[in-house]
Amino acid sequence: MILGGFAFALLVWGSLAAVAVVFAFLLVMLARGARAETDSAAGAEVNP
Amino acid sequence: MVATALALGVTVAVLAAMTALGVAHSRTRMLSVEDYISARNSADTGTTAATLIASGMGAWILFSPAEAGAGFGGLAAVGGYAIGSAVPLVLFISVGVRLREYLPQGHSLTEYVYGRYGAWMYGYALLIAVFYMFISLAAGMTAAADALAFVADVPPWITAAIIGGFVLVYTGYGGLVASIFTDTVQTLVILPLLTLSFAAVVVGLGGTGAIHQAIASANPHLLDLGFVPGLAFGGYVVIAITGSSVFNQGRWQRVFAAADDTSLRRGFAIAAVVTVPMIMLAGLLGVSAAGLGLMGDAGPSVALFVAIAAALPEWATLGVVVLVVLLVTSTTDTLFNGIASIVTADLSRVLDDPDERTLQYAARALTVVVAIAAIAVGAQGYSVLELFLLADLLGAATFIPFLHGLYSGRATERGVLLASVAGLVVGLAYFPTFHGALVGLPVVGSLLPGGSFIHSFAGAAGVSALLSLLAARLSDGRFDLDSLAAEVHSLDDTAGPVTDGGQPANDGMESQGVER
Repeated sequence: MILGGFAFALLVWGSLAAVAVVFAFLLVMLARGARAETDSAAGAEVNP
Repeated sequence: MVATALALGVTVAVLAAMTALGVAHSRTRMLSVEDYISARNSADTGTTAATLIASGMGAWILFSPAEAGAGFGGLAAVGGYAIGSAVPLVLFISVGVRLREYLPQGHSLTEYVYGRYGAWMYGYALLIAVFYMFISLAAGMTAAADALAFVADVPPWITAAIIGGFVLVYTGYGGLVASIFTDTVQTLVILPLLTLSFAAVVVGLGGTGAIHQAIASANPHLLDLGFVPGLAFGGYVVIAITGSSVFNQGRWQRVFAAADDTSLRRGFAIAAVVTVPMIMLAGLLGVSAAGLGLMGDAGPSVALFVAIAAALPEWATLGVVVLVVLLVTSTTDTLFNGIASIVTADLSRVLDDPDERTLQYAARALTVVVAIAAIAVGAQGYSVLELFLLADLLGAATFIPFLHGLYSGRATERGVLLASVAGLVVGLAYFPTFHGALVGLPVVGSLLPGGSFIHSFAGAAGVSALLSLLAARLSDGRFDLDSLAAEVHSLDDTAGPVTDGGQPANDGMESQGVER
């Protein structure tokens, strides 16, 4: 089955969009992790 | 082509920044030998995903998927490559959770195999793991050296020495903690840089419409999802990558480094999800280069660089230099620490009750030895493709029996070893790389079938799986998987009194770390 022009474009731009979405999700996860670590460190200072 | 001095300057700047970040992050922590080789329960979901993405995505992503697309079967081959790269990550979701359950204090794949099976299977798995990881390391170094020679005429030994030297500094100092932290930073740069580069190349080549039209009229089989050679290539790559990935200690370390099972599941899932489109894009650029007739005299392995050179201005090639350096750095630090950690974890069993400081020194010394060997091999520019394929075949013939014991108490050492060796023999019988030499053997040579990678890898995995299952059914033994936890303990717990007269390392947090 030969991939048509529309499907080819969808594959290329869809792949690029998928990477961008995962990257944004990853940024959110990393930011959450960093905030949790900061909160935990602050908590440890208050209650050593 | 970019000026050599400029490319070298950018390379050194990127490596110096990574080294500074890795060392600075490690300095803030009191590192025990446990931190150095396992960083246990320290990586949340985002960090687990980021370190898996960076450590798994080496300089090969700029060569192999594009080569598959341009040289081995177009989209069908690229699709197989993409799926093959994601399957091991998905597999490790299940394997990883089991490992953490049965080996809560585990560090390495060899600890599992020694505890579960015994010394013979341990020796076999150790051989495969070290062979595979060292070949990967050498191949990564060689790929980076080739890439910088292609875009900026940098002599290969300089590339290998600079990359190996800088990575050694921060990995030798901060171990897995430094590796995971720099992986996270590298992912945050690599993903957008790769995405923007690929998008710019697609636009520079005239957009998807023009590319598709050119491929459809010149090489329509490149767009054929049912192209049999491409599907066969994709099929063997799935088995090859899955098999060899199981023996990548870097993956096992990250299983134990995940903060909890949820972080492990989500982290591995995110890495798998992003791997597929990344490989697809790299492969599609190879398909585009071949379809647009850009290849000329260049081999398919540099198809992506040919597409970049055709689509982007010369200054943009500097971005490729940064990409190459980051990609190879992220896998090199993982493999330096991975190989060193396997031996260090085993030293605690081999040596008579070593203290923590001895293990720390051993881990660092091993990292130096691995780095020097990798630089020496990478600087030669050897083609290690054939050895890489052999390492893949060893993995393909062994990974199912190897993991079988994690799911079944009936699997025995004799059964899985027999199954693995039988799978390897079947794989070698079909293995095209050595076919010429093997058919010359007396008696058996004339009986050998024709060479084919898909038959070789599918045969190796299929036969070893069937025999492993059969041996388990015939076995009377019942291994208690819960007993594995008692076989493996924290390396901090092994320490007796430290040499400066302090207390044993498990007496308190202060003594667990070696302040540097």
